[in-house]
Amino acid sequence: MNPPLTTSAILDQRQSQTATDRLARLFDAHHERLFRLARRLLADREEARDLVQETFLRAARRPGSVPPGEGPGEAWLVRILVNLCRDRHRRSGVRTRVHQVLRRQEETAHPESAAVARATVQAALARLSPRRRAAIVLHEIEGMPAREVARLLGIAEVTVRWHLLAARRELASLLLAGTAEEVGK
Amino acid sequence: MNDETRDESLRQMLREADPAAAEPGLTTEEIRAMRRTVLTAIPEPRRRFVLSPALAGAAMAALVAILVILLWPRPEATAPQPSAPPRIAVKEPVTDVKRTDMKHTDVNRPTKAVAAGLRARRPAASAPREQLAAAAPAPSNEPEPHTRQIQFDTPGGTRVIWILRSDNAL
Repeated sequence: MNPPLTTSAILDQRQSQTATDRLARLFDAHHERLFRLARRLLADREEARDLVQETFLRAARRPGSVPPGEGPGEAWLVRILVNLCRDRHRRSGVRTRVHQVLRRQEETAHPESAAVARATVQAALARLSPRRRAAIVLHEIEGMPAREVARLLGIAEVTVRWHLLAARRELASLLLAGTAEEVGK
Repeated sequence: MNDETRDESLRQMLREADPAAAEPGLTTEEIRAMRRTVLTAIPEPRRRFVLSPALAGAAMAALVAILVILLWPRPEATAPQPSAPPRIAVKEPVTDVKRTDMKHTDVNRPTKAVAAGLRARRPAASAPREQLAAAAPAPSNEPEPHTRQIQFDTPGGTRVIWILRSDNAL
């Protein structure tokens, strides 16, 4: 049945089209960047992809909650991604899983030391809280300044710096001082 | 190891172990599927309640019908009750009245029934009580009191009371 050609029906159609266009633009602009960030926050590629999709689904279900503008929209998406990562972290007991992954790699005696090193670093990163992990990843790996990290995460710059300091200390104790066995503890 | 050296070592380790560096990213198919899933998840805007012309017409017709039913003049309470005849009693204004069952009563013409009862009994003017036994139309010739009261119950339980004047007007 065709909708009635009333003013309200036409306005509703336009509103729906506007929301779809806006979300499509957001997706096209940021899906790659979000996937890279998710990949750095999570060890598993499939999990990272699911996390990105869930982030955009949150935006789709409540289009009014996404702030207007490119920058605020991107920051909103990153915050949602980090929060979802935190929820997953709480639910799934990541540390136990990472420990098991490391044990399996040690048992198979993987010849590629680079792969082992990557796994070790990932395991160490997984020990950090998702927000702290996001801060260190955005700052150290993506090279963002603390002010930009603060904008993306929606926290104060001084808080970012504090997270970076704490993350470095913890990673140092895990990676620079010990072996994978210490990471698994 | 001072802090700067430590931080630099960490940075190097993190960048070397960056999983995204070796990651080719989402495939075209994955992107397309995700995009489709996301864009179809947008809820439809809540439609404002709009009355279509047909629905408005039906609503108006229903409203008119209700008004007609409510405002239509109701028939009098003595409308014929086909189920059972009412019990009719005649009583003087100051005396008690016994109600009696009326059989074969013409409920449409209660005054005639009353008159028939009066004719059947022909009570004296000073008689304290009267009762009706049968219905038959006939005028009353006896001298009447100024007012006379008729009471009867309808099958629905409604009590009807008539007060007749000497000229048989209700």
